[in-house]
Amino acid sequence: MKSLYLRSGLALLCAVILSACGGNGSGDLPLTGSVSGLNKNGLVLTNKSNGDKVTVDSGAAGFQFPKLAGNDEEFEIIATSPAGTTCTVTSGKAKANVYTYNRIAVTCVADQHKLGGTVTGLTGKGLVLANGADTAPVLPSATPGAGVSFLFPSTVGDGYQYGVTVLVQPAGQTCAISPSNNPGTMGSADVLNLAVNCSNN
Amino acid sequence: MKFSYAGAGVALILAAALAACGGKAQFTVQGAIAGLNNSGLVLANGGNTISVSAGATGFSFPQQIDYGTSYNITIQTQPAHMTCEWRGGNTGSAGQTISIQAQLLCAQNTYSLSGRVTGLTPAADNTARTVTLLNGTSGGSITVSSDSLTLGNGDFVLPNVADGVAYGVTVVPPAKPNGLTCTLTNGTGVMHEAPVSNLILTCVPTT
Repeated sequence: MKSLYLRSGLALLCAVILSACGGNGSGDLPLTGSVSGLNKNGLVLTNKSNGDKVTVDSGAAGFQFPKLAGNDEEFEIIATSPAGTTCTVTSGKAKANVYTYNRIAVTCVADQHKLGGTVTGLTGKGLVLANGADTAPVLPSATPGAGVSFLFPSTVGDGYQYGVTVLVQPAGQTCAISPSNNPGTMGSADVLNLAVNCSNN
Repeated sequence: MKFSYAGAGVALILAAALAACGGKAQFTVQGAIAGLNNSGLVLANGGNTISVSAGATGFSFPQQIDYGTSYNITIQTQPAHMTCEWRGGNTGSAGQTISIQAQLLCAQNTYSLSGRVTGLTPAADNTARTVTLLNGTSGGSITVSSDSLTLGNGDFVLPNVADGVAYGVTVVPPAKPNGLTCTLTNGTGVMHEAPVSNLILTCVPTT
């Protein structure tokens, strides 16, 4: 009896030791990495080698795959980007070891769209519009009474907010921006219909 | 044994070669600069000073120093609207490294953008009400909550704005109307050499 216990105990021990040796998700290296520039929910990272997935949300700085990788286990990480954003993976394909398991880097860039609109009633000089630090001077039209279109020098990324203010009022006039789409959030197309109306003081 | 003889021989030859150069080695007190966009920077090493012009990516003092002479490069005058900091290599003794290579990093000064809020009270059922202020696309935002205010009054601080840069703060309405209408005054300007603290956010019940 005693030897039977001993043997089954040994067999169990062997099984435990063997199962610890590898196979998917049974290693001890958590595949982790950094994320930058992600402004939308729904980024999905997939490890093509074992099908493991992790979802990363807006603003996240990092991620970790649920399954642990074994030493020397191959991994290949691919990114499925949220709409309007392009995420690329660097250092995403390697054999897992202490040097590679935490070096995966995901860089996301939002699609860029133009921000602009039309100023009506502008007769005075000096109007400057601002989207924060980004400024757009607007001069009156040569044709009296005609609307003047404007465009900000910097584009705005899909999913990013914008808010336009009047930085400098034109001489003798006061301009206001229609609140119907300002402030707002950039969608999947240019916003070129901001409406600024000026009237004489 | 053979190896150590050879090694000693090589060392001897090298020493002889160096000694043949004559006199003490001379070192240029120099460094690299990143981010210097404005003029006015003056660096000093002891009694020697040099002016560094805007856009420079490096500097060197005209006076060379002997091997073993200690140096201590300091910032005598900061450039206009900027602050430079040493990132190493600005003090030492000539010859510690093959050449002197100090690292100077400069960045535009930034100042806080802040103000006061009034009338941001909790809802009738005592849940918090919030209002978000946005400084354009790249200037950051702050969400002010009635929870963090005393009697609906308090302060808010937006992310810093660099000297010379425009700011334009707008009130982002909540996704679901919360019964308050908030307006901001003094929300637009250009940051200039001092913090701005005169923004006023006024919330009143929506009529």
